[in-house]
Amino acid sequence: MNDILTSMLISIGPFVALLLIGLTFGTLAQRRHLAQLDQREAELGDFMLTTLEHAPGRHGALVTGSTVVAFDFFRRIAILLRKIIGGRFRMHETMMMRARREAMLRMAESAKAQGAVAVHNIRLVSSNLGNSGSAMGGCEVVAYGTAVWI
Amino acid sequence: MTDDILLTNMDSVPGRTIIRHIGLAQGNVVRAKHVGRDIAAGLKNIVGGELRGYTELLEEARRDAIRRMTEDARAQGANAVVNIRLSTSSVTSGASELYAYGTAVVLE
Repeated sequence: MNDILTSMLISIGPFVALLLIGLTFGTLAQRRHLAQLDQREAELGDFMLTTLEHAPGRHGALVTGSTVVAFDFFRRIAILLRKIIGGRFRMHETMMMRARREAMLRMAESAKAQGAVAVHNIRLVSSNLGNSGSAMGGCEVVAYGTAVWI
Repeated sequence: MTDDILLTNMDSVPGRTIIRHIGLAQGNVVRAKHVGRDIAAGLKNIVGGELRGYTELLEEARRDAIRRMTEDARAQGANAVVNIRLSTSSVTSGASELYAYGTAVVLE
């Protein structure tokens, strides 16, 4: 009886450990990242970001920002379970929004560093890198737009 | 992107007038991840978060794609590319294509 228990522990132990590590570090990293995003967005101040196709300004140039993110082990398993019953994937919505804000901030920060006052006609695109559902892979988010100077 | 060719993703250039539309200018790059980065990313896949190696790789590839588009535009005699669009697609598992396209134009 004890032997069966031990062998069961050995076989599912690493899996449970990975789940816990994923959940703990993933959640900590998320909390830290969200706080950092809030701060950086506040630092941008009145720097304007729009999706307008025609914008005032005297000079324009393309600016881009991007990031590649991956879900942690816990969230990857959670998605598999969630797929059975369907519905909203709240944890994953948060992750994608984090990636989008990060990409947009990188774009805005690079435009601001070049002395621009706004970025117009912003486009956000995302793509899968390889097989993000399985062991490897991630999701790429790109933000690009036209930086304008007055 | 310090170049004499002006790049924008709007359909006009702020403060300038387009005098001639030439046509499509495009550039693509297909890049594969390499093993070292894959291992690092594999570890990162446990805790999640940003895969910096991939971000850098794709940034580099995107710059190359934009540069090729710029060269294409220059070869056609343009001095600006407007209405630029960027797209990424995974060609096979482990390789990505970065594609930049736009309209080559001549500015006043």
